[in-house]
Amino acid sequence: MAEKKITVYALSTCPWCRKAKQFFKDHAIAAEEIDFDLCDSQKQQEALAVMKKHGGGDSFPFVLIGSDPVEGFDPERYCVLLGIQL
Amino acid sequence: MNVQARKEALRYFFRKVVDPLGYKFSPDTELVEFSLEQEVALERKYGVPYCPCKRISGSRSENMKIVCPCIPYHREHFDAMKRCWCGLFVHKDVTDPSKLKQFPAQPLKKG
Repeated sequence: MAEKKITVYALSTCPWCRKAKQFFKDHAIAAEEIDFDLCDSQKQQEALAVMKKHGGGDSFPFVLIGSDPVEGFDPERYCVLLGIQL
Repeated sequence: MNVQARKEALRYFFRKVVDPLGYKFSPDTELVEFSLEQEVALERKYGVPYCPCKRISGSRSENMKIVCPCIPYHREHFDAMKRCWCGLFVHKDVTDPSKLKQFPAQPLKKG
């Protein structure tokens, strides 16, 4: 399976974002983490454009696995998209 | 008012709002304490206890929809999940919140 790029869009205040980040750490899967509320305005606009392109942008965590978006903490969906066992 | 006192005040007011809507605080006390603490921090920063898991935009009318408890603005979605988005509140019949899934209100688009 080709390795997919993973990006976790998060808020520093969001408990489920922490769980999402931890999921990828626990599975030793590299994931870029973007704390939306801690970014500068330009980075926020860039992140928002990506999330909106996929139909999201208002709720966190928002995880992009390859070209597949997942809104909310959904470890089962992460596993399906990554082809791994929970 | 210190953080703990404000948390207790929010707990008192929120309970009165969510109870008639059929919701209660999640039995996940660790999550509840963390989320309330974040809301106190958001209230100190913005003057309003916004949902800690929602994006605060530049639009006041949009931001009003994420003031905790935001259940009335997202009733259909939250009722389907049996929890609010951040999980601070769950349906009254929920005893194990770990079984509840967090899913989007609308289908997302593959890029």
